[in-house]
Parts: sequence; C-alpha cells; structure tokens
Amino acid sequence: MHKRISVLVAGAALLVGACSFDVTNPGPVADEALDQAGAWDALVRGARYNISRATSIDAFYGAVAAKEYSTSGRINATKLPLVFGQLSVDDVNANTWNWSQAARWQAEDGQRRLREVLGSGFATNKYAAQILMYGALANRILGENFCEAVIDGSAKKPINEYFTRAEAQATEAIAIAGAVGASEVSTQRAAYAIRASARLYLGNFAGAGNDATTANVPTSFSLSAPFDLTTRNLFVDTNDFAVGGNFRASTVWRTFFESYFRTTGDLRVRWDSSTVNGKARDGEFTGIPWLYQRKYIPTGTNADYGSPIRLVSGREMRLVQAELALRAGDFTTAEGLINGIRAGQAVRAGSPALTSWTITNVQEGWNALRRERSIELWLEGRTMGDLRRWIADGTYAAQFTNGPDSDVADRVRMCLPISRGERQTNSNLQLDPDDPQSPIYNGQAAPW
Amino acid sequence: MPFKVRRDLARLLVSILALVLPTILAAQAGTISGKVVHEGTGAGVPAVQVSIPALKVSTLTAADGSFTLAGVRPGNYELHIIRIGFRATDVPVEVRAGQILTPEVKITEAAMALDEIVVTGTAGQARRREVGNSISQVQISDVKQPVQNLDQMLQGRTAGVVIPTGRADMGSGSAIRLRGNASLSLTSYPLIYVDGIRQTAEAYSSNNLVPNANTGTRQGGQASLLADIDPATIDRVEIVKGPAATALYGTEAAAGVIQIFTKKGVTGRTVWTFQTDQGVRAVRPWGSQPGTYYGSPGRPAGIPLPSSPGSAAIAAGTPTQACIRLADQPLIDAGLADGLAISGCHRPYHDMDPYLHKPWRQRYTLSVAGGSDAVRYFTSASGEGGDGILPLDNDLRYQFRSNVSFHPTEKLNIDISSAYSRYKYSFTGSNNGTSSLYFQVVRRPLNGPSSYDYRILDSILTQRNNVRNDRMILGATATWTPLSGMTHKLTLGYDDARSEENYLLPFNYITDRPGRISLEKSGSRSFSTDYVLSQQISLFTGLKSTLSAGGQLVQRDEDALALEGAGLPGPGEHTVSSASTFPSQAPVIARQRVITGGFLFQNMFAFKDRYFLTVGARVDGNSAFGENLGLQTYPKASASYVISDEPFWPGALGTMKLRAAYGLAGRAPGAFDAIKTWTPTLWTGGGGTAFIPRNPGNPDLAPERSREIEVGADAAVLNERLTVDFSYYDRVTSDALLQIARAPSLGNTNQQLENVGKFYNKGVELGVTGKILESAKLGIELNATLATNKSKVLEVGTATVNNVQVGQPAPVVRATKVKNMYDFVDPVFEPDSNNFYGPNLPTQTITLAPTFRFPKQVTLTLRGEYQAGHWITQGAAHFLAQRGPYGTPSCDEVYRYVPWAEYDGPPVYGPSARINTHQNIDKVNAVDRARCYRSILQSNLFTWPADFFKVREITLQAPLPFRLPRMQTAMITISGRNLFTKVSKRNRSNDPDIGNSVENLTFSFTDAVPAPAEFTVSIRATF
Repeated sequence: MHKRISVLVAGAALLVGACSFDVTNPGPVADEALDQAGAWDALVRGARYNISRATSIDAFYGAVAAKEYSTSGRINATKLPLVFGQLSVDDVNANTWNWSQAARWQAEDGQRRLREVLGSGFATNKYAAQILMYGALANRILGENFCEAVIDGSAKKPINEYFTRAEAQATEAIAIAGAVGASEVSTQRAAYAIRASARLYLGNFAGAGNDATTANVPTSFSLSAPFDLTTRNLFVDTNDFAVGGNFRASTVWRTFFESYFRTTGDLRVRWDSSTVNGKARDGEFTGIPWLYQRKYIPTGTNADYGSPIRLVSGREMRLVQAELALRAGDFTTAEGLINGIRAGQAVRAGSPALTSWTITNVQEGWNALRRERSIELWLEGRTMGDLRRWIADGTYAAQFTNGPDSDVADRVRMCLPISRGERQTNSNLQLDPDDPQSPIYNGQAAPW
Repeated sequence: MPFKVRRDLARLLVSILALVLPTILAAQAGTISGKVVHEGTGAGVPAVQVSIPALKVSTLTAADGSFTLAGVRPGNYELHIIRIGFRATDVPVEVRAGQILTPEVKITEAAMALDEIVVTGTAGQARRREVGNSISQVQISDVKQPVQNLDQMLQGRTAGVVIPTGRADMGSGSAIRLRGNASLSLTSYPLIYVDGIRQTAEAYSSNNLVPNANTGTRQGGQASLLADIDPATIDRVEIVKGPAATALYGTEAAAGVIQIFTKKGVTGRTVWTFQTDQGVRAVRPWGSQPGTYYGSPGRPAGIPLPSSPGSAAIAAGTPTQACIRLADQPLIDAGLADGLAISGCHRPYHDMDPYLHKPWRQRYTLSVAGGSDAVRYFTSASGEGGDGILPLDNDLRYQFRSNVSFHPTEKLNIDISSAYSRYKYSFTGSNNGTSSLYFQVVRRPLNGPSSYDYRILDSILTQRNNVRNDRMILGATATWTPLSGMTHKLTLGYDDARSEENYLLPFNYITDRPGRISLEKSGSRSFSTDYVLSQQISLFTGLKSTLSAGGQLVQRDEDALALEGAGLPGPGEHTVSSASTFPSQAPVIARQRVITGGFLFQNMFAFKDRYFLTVGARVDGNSAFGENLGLQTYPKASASYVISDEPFWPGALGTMKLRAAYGLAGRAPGAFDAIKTWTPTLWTGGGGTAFIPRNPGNPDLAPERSREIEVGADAAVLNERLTVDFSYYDRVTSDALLQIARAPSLGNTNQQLENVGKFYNKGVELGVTGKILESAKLGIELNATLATNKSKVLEVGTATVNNVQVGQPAPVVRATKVKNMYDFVDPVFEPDSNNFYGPNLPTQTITLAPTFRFPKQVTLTLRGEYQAGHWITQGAAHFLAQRGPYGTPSCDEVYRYVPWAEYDGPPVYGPSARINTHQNIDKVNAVDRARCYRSILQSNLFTWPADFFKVREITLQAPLPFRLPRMQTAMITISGRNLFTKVSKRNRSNDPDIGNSVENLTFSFTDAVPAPAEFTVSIRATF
C-alpha cells in the first residue's frame, strides 16, 4: 500500500513539475518585439505622441507663467496668479516633467535600439533620422521649459545639457535625413529649425544663423504636435467648450493680448467672450471675466480637441534671423524680417490690415521682436523660454522697456521645476536642500 | 417490418419487467418509512442522513423529516441517523418481510458537533474534531430571513467577516473582507468555491480583468459573481478566514476561502418546494435633518429667503425647510449672485426625493428533489425581478441548478452539477460623472445642465444603462473508494461568466449634446481540475494516519471588448458604429490567460481520537510569476486536542477542543505585471498606432506570502446550552506587492509592482451561542459575535502609496487635518496635507442576534451589527462646499448657524473675514469652518468616523395557517432588513455601510444612494 501511495505521490509531483506555466498573452507588446523593423513606424510615432502630450501641458503652464493667459477656473489651473514669486512643485502639474522626460527618453531609447539593430545601416535609415529629430525636439522642449536638466536618473545638470543634446541629435538627424533623400526633407528642415533654436540658447549665434536660413527652413514650413480626442490639446480641454462644460480654467483677461486683439483684430491671438456652446459666464473665481482663446477652437466643437500646436516653423526662423540681426546691431534688417511676418496676416472681419512696426533703433527693434515673437508664438509654449533666455543673457534688462510680459519678469523664474516624483525617486536628487520633502531642506524657498 | 415489431415487443417486455420486478422483490422485504423530528420542537428535520450500515443503504429525509428505505432485507439492524448540527443517533429496528415500519426518531442538536464532516481547508474531508483551525459554517436552515444573495446570507453571521451593505443602484455587489485586508494593492476578496469548483472571478466588468478595458462610460457599481448563486439552492457555506487554514489552496488563498455547498437530492419520494418572496424597498433618510435657523441679521437687504425669493432677512428661530420644497421655483433671482438664499435648508435625501421610488419586488423558486438509492437529484429554477429605488433601475434574474448523484458501482459515487443564471438589469448612472443622477442633483445648479430645476434634470433620465450577465457552472466529482480507508476524489469544474453592457447618452443629451454610446463585453472562464487521494492507515493501537496527496490545475481565460463612440447622427436606435468619433479611447479588445497549478500533500495523525496533528504543504507554479521565480511552497501544520475526551475531564464541564494552526498562502500578481511591455495606442491625431511604454517589468516578481498563526478553542458547556468559539490570529504578509514609482527621467512613468511590503493583521474572534430558555413551547437563543482587527504596515520599500504608510493600519485613512477640530475657533491646519485619521476597515465588529421561539413553530429573529474604529472619506462634498449655493448636505447643520452664502471672500485658503464676524460664528467649530465654506485646499477634510450600528434583520416566521392539498409543510416569513442605522454623532456624511466596489482596496463614499431598507413576505411550501 505504501508503495502504491508513494508511486502516486511521485507521479503527481512529476506531473506538476512537468506543467508548463509559460503563457504568452496578447495585447501589451513585449519589449523584444520592438527590435523588428515592422514596429519602428509605431515606435517613432510613440516618440511623437509623447512630444504632443508634453507640449500641451508645458505650453499651458508656461503660458500662465509668461502672462499669455490668466487663471480663471479651478481645474488644471496653476495658482500662479494667487501665489506670487515662484513656480514651486506644488503649483505645477507633475506631468509637465513626466511627459517631457518621457518624450526625451522614448526618442533616445529608440535611437539606442535602432543603433543596435541597424548597425551601420543606422546612418541611412529614415526612422533613425526621424527619431533623432524627435529626440532633439524633446530636448529643446525640456530646455526651453525647465529649470534644470536630469538625464536618466542623473543628478541635476545645467540646463544647457538639454540644448547640447538637442544640437547633437539634430546634427545627426540632418545628416541622415540628407542621406535618405527627398522623403525626409521635412525631417531635415525641422532638425535645422530645432538646432537653430538650441543654438540660440547655447550662444552659438553664428550657427543659429546658418541653420535659420530660408534655404534650410522655408517660411511656409511648419511641424506641429497633433492631438485628437484622446490626447487633447489642453488649451481646448481646460475650457471644455464643446460640452459647454464647467472647467473654463483660463482667460485672456488682463493680458497684453486682450487689448492687442481688441485694437488690431490680429487673428493669431484671437479670443472671444460670446457663446460657443452654452452660456459664457464668469470663471470659478467670481469676478474674473472669461475671455477664452480661439486660436485652437475655430469651430467650438469636439473636433477642436485635436487642434495642433505648432512646434517648429519657418516664420519663427525669420524672427530668429531678426534677433540675430539685432544682436549684430542691424535693426533695419530686423525691421524687414519682423514686418515681413506681419504682412498679410489675417485679421478679424472689419478690422484694418495690420500695420508695420516702426523701428528706428536697436532697442525698438528688440521690443518689436519680443512683441512679435509673443504674438506669433502665442500659446505654443515658447514665450516663457524666450523670456528666461533674454533675462539670462542680459537682453531683458538692457533692451526691454515694456511689453506683453512687463509684470512677470521680476517675480517668476521663467521655468518649470523638477517634479516631486523625480525628487522622491531619483536617488541622485533626494538630498536637495531646496526640496521641502528633503531631510536637508534648508527652509528657504527654491530659487525659482 | 416483422423485425421491428419483435424489437418493440422486446422493449415493452423489458419495460414491464423493470416496473414489476422491484415490486415482486419488495414484497419479500420490508420497508422503513419513518420521520426524524427535532427533540425540542417536534418539527420534522430535513436533510438528515438515515442509513443501515450493515446493508450499506442510506437516504436523506425530506423537508418534513420523512424518509423511506424500501426493499430492506428482513432482520435486526441499527438505524444510523446523522445530520450536521445534531447528535448522531442509532435506533434498533426489526424489519419483517412485507411489513412497513414507521419509526419516529427524535434527534437533539449538538451544540458542538465534533464528528460532523467539513471539507474546506483540508485535503479530502475531515471531522471537525480533527481540524486545528477555525472553520465557520452557515447553514441555510438557520437563516430564517429570505435572502436574495449570498452576501446577505453571510452578513453579520460570522465573526471576522465584514460585508458592507453597499449601495442602492441596481446590480451592485458588495466587497467581502475576512480578517481585514490581505493585500495592499491586489484584491482582498476571498477565494470562492461552489461544490468544489473554483469561481472564475470576483466581479463582472472587472477593472482588474484586463487593464484599461473599461470605456469609462459605466457610472454604476460592480456586480458580484456571488449573486449568481441562488440562495434557495444553498445547503451550507463553510468559511476559512486565513492562511492558517487555506495553505492547501496555495497561491490565491491568502484572503481566505468561502466554499458553498448546494443542495443534493433525497432518496425517497419526490418533494417539490415552492417559495415566493414579495417585498418592497425604501431608502431610509441618510442626509441632514430639520433644525432651526439662528438667523442672519447682517444679511444685506433684498437677499431672498429660501421659500420666498425677494423677501428680507431670515429671522432668528426660523425652522429650516426641506430643500425639496423649493424644487419648482427659481432659487436664484436674476441679478443676484450665487443664489445666496438657499443654504440652511435640510436634505434628508440629499434632494433626491423626487427620484426615490418604493418598488415592489418578487421572487419565485421551484425546486424538486428525490431519487433512489442509485440516483438522487435536485433541480431548482427561480425567477426574480422588479424595479429599483432609482428611476431607471430594474432587473430580472433567472437561475437554474441541477445536481445529480449516482453510484455506478458500490465503490464509486459521481456527483454532477450544472447551474445557469442570467441577470439583466438597468441602472441609473451614479458616481462622479455627467450621467450620474445623484451627482447632478446634489451639485445643482453648478452641475452639468447648469440647472437646479428637476424638470430639466429629468432629461438626465433619457440615458440607458443596460447590463446582461450570463453565468454557467458545470462540475463533476467522482469519489472512488476501492479499498477500505482509501478514497480517490477527482473534481472537474468549468465556470463561465460573461457580461455585456450597453450604455447610451442619446443624441441631444443634456450634458453631452452629440450623444455617446458604448458597448463593453467581458468574460472570464476557468477550467479547474482537482484530484486528492486519501488513505487512512492504522499504525498501531490508537494511532492512525491519514495521508492525502493530490494536485490542482486551474486555467483562467479572460477577455474584454470595449467600444465607445460619440457624435450620434440623430435620434433613434444606434450601435457604436453609428458614432462619428471615438472620444475617450480607441476600441479595446484584450484577452489573457493565467495558469495556476499545484501539488499538495497532507498527513493527519490521530491518537486515541482526541490528539490530532496535521502537517502538509502545497507547491505552486503560476504563469504570472516572474521568469526568474520557481515553484512556491506553502506549508501548513495544525493540532487539535479534544481535551473533554480525557478521562480526567469532568463531564459537567461539557465539551472542549483546543486547537492551533499555522500556514502560508499567497496572492499572485496580474498576468502582465512581471513583463516589460509596450502599449500600442491608436492615435488618430498622429496618423496611426503609437507604441508607448507600459510596464517596466520585473523578472523576479513573486506572489505575496501571508503567514498566519491561529490558536483557539471550541467549547460547549452548561449541558451544551452555551457554546463558545474563540480564536486569536496573527497574520503577517511579506513580499507584499506595491507599486513602485520610478524616476520619470528614466522614461516610463508607469509604476512597477515589487515585492517590498510587509504588514500584519491580528485580532480575536469570539462566537457565542446561548440557549437562554429552552422548552417545548418557548425558547430564547442568543447568537453573538465579537471580532477585532488590528493591522499595521511594517515595510513599504520605496513605495509611496497614500493609504499605505509604515507604522499605520493597512489601509489607513490620511487627509488634511485641523489641529483644533472641535474647538469653536478658527481652524489651525496641520502643516502636512496627509495626516493620520485611522484605519479604513473596522477594528471592532459586534453582532447580536436573539431568536425567540414561540409555540406552534413561531420564531422571531433580530440581528444587529455594530462596527467601529474606522474612518471613511467622502470624496465629492468639498466640490459642493466650494461651489454653493447650497453647499454640501454634510454641512446643512452648520449652515443653520452661518449660511454658506455668508462666505464672500476671495478664493484663498480659509474662512473669510465675513464669516469670522458673523454673529453665530462661535457656534461653528474649527473643522466645520474649514470644511463647509468656499475653500480650495481642504478637499479631503470630509473624513468622518465610520462607526455605526445597523439592524440587519428582523424576521418573524410561522407556519402557514392553512394547507393546500398534498402540501407537507408551509411557512410564512415576514422580514425587514436595514431598518435602522445609527452613526457616529460626528459623522454627517452618507451611510458608512456603503462600502465600495467589489474589488477596491479601501472603503469610501461615492456619489451614490445608500442601500435601501427591504420588507419581504415569503411563503415556502413543500409538496
């Protein structure tokens, strides 16, 4: 009997041991599958997807900091108008940092993967060109919007780390796109424009000038961050026009653009206060009129959630050329370039055509440039970076007299902070004396 | 043709012989046709096993206690009578040829039936005296109340089992907790078995089934799979509450096991049972109650009264009015900001009054049981339905079950069971969403339609939320006893649960003009195989060994489909394909498979039938484990000592068993948790599918391991009039899975489950049953339970989970806190936004259930439950406090002193100067000043003590005063449920017994109406 039982027990044990518990479930895709060429289209699109998400939220918070917009509601609004002086980790949605870093990481991880798989073929592969360009763009976005650099769990680095990476990746993208040929002309043009912007921050003005030419980036060229009803342009989402919703979180009220649009009708900074779908009313904070932007809501329907945000454009490059001219003391060339952007610009029905700015010296040129850049790039997530760059190199103090952002420069550091999540999970950042969560917190407000 | 005639004639002959032969044979034997009755009450006792061991024949008694053993060979025998809960009884009988014996056997209840058989938690089966762990049992015969589902059947009957009543909306199931939370991030729902077949999932439309499979359109609760088990088909339920008893169930059993045993057929004549339940439901008021205004002399002129817009200030001493009276008049005069008038009214039903119905519900059950010695059967069919409390709520449920047992040979018994249920229901949207009726009403007029007016809110009810759940369970168990003391038991089970949900916000819907439509389908199917061999061996005098070994293999396949579209072309009937856009997410079609397999062995040593030692282990593999992980071992050991069987034990002290048990059990991670993966995301804006990072992956991912030590004693004293069941348990869960955040600069912001946590649950459980008065005509019995639960988190690694904190209960309620909560001064806030309040699950639970027995089998049962020591957070109230003009119902009593509208300060973080100068401000304590007025930081200050006492049941049962032809027994039961609730004075929120969805980690409030009171009249008759 004992023998019989022993045999049975041993048999059962053998049976279980022989059972296979390997299961391959469909749905989420295993990491190894992305090594195959057929996955690269979606891999590159994923990098772009993250750039869209990052752009939307960075631009929203940057717009408030740069006074492109004011807070009028409760949801997704920073407390910037309420707590003056700094953008702290509590004031800004952590996804600014998270999604921007995700955009950088996915592009750079994709570059690593393609280099490993393609070997020497990397230098002539269209996906390599594209993902390098998106990597450069993600780094430019991080550099323009954040205060410090952190790469893959590193310690804090100077902000130029992002621009250096952007420059390097754009340089490689330009070369590979050129090698691929005509199909990647747009990739190459975008890479030139990204590198030009990065070089402005790095102080390589000659290099920026070489990149920003009409030949490299025609005036009509642009690259945008697309959205759809899933990803959603945050400027539309927070206003929630299409469903007549309650969010109504931002207003143009008391910004430069309120009066500028009233007087000129320049549709680049279009806003409205009339009915879109449902009754417009004051914001959540009683007494703040709700003047909603219409740059991204031309129709006032659900479809507007997909309104793209421009990332790169030839028009911006002309303004880069104007800035470089001003830096060289050539205000006449700058005047032509700036007014060239204004020429033919669409205006509200019934408004006269836009007038040209009159520039008689370099300082007027700088003020006109700042004004025109803020109008041209309104709600595109660029103005806060411009202000910080100009404050950092002394241009702001030396040249600017008044303008769209006259009352923000003194009290708000023009950049977004490292998120609390990064501070809590990155061992190289945990002992940050500026972080109230840190055991060595110095009790002082962070310097931003 | 001639051949066919011969064949038909042959068949006829065989048929006649088959009919006649037993009669001929029976005429040479005797028949025992008796009745088993209760010693105390004289009532017939059903389901008693009556056997003649010498002849190896047996039968079960019918509903009236009658039984028949036909064809008994003449001779002298012992009639052996056994039933769970009664003392085994032997009666000598003398059977003569052709004679019919009609004995009446009286059996007495055994307060502590040490020889009754239990199966849950042990390999094969065991007598209760042999089991070293606590095992609770609920007999359907003890449940007088007509229950609609198993949740109700178990609620408040067993120490250590917490089952919230839940919410009013149709189809919502309840969470179940055995000895607190068994996990910090996975479900703490126990493992469910039905007749040995493992239940495939916990809830329909499971959020855990396939992540991201829900479109988000669903604005209601989750339906529990337990509701598919027709309570009329249940015979008994066994509950083992922790790893000390569940080790042999392995990887999924850390949260305990509930095993349901359905009714079997009865040898003898066919017995039909019919039952109908007719009832009505009504919600008891749960909101603010009437009071008196203290007046507001400082109110500016022209601000309207609640009842008469445009009039002057409210005079001191004015009684509050019910807000509902104001439903048909504008609350806000044109030109006046923010409806300053309204706060100060009372809202016993949170303004939901016009929408709360008192629906009639009905249920019909018909079952038939019978059989012979060779074949027994039980078949049941039931139908149930009616409207619900909320206007769109209605349901219809059909349930069928059939159990067949037969003996192909003397040594082989086969049980085959099948069950099917269909549950169709519609519900009114709830939770925090645009289609939630409660949400839109309680937040008016700052709601989706921007309106206070019920005539406008009525249009919310054009929504449609239709669900259909189908469930099929098939099972077969073969028990083969080839040799004396050896048993092979093989169980095959198949459980298939499917759900289809259709949601529609029609074209031109008030909060979604383009309209929205979605379809969600989900399914879970399990195929399980269990095999156990048991062999009993006598080693030497007085020492026996029972060795059991076996294995289990469970394969679970799950699938989900979720489609959502918006922008309907116009009115009419549509499918998702009619939509013009896909607003929330791309269509989801997902499926996954999880395989769990294990080998188990157990050896029980019995010495002198009073010392018992059991050791065993289970070794498991699971497809969700990390690739670096091998098989997992879960050992167990237990000891039982029937001290009252010792010669030195004075008989006057009754019966006592001491016990101790130790065991480990686990909880596996999800199917994808260990693997590094990417999500293909349809991104129409980007022109196609995009890969984005999903799970960082962890090849070392292991199951959670819960170790439990349990000691206790079972005793029956005072001539078995008082029974006591006491247990102390200490459960430590290590390798607890927690989501660990990675640095966002590493690219993947999704968290990864890691085995970093450790926590414990410990407590005592005491169950007492006392027969205070017992006579033939009158009886009073008191059942009482006490359970405590103390939990503490010991380790969390680098996890940052708000309600899981080292040194605090698991889970803990943390929130913003006012230091001087109950002082009548301005609030002073704690600097941290997350402060300790207390545990989320009750730390003490007490139930009291007296039963009064009157002459003529009339009984009255009351059941009350008290839960205390826990806290619960109300998520939505702060929105109302921010927005006005009503404020939140939770602050109505505060607004009586200082109306919400008195706040007119800027949007800063505290009361305004105007509140502070209000003449009644000294009647408002600090925490209410922070809670009840427009304040944008203190969102989670609506955290309340969740202590409550609830009358779960009042049931009166009596024989029906008349009999129909052929009717054997007939009882009428009148029962009320949830009739009364008393909450802490400091809790002005919803009913804390609302709990949460089946799968959720914590209990919390949602924007939902609490469960209603129920009144039911039930008639049950057997024929």
